[in-house]
Amino acid sequence: MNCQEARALLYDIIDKEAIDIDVDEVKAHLKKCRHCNDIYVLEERIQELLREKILAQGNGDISRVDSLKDRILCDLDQIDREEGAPKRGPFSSAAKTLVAAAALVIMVGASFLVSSYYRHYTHYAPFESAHVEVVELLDQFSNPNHTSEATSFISDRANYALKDHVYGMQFIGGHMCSLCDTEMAHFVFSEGDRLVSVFVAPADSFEIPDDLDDHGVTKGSTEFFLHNCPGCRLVYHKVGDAVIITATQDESLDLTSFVPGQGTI
Amino acid sequence: MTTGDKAALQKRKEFEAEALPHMDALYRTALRLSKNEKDAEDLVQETFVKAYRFWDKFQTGSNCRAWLFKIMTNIFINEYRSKSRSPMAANIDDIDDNYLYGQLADVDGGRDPEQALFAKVFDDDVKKAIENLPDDFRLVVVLSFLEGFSYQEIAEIADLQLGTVKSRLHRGRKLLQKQLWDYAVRNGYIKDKAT
Repeated sequence: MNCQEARALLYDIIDKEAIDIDVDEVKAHLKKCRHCNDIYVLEERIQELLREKILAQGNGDISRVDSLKDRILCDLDQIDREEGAPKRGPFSSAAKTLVAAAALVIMVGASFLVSSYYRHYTHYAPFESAHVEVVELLDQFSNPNHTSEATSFISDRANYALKDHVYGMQFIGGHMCSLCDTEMAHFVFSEGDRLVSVFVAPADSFEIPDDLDDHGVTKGSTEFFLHNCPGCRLVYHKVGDAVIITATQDESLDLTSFVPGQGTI
Repeated sequence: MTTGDKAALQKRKEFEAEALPHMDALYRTALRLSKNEKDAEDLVQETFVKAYRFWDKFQTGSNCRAWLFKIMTNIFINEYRSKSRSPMAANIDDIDDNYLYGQLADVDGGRDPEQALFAKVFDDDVKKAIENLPDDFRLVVVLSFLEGFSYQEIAEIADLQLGTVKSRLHRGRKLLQKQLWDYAVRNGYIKDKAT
């Protein structure tokens, strides 16, 4: 191998792209030819310097990267909706509000976790936790657009005409229940200091879990369940083709007589 | 839950698990391609939108990272690449191969000029040098140096012949070396014989 041939392969070797035979031949040439070896050593050093400096330029501001991720997730939700997979659709628009809520949580040093709670809808939790969290953070969720979007989504769905049940309520986000493995929309209804969370799901996808004994559930009938748990009480209610779960922390409220959509507690 | 809904949920889950983790890598490359945060963010956002729409075209098990970079590169070339040709592109062929080696060999003795060059070139000088590269060259340089893609992968990502990748990478290097030398001389890190 002569100098010209060796130098033609220098970058292939530096980039680790050369085949073994070439590497051996070039290395053999470099041992014999000091001039080519000097060039090789310098080029390799320059290459390392450039690579190092390019890497050192950083990966962007973390907070900007986070908000970029949120925008991308919103876009994906939008595409899901367009492509007829509306199940997750309306939940997404709450994402930005939720980011703000998460930021607030971090700022005030509160101990509950909400940042990923509704955003990806894969966070599993029982209803009572969702309700307790929303009571703490209600101010952060007030966006009337989310509510109207969510209600129209629900009313648009065949066999899932829940519009009447959630009329006048505030949409909070999507909820994935860890007990029944069902996705549902989470609304709240407030009157003065009283607050009720309302979770709605299509009845055909919702199975009231059999193993609720551990959670203090008393099965009343096939249509109706009362769930007493620390922090709040829950009522499962089957209305037409929907299942509605109401939750409250207010001990004076009789959830069995509360009818969602009636506009009063 | 209908079968269609389940498939859609599955698709979303897969995408979030396989594609989204590459966001940081795409963004750091986008920052160097588009030179400002706003364009870089838009570029990455558009990339994921397009990738999600075409997710069913992605072959599970194949290289998702390279696939995403191909999408981003395509958008960059079609929408973000500056329309005017960089003036620098014209005179690349006047630059010698192993440019820095030649320049350093010409420098008057004294202290080790090579050492001076390496010790004193600032991050910012390199950043500027890369930003000054014509878009086509910057693309292959960033994909190779920053992301460590092979020549073959870059050829597929940027839809180029293997030979074109190598020549652009080579010419990109020459331009970088020339600029670094010029910075070094202008800032007095090194005394050029000619000055």
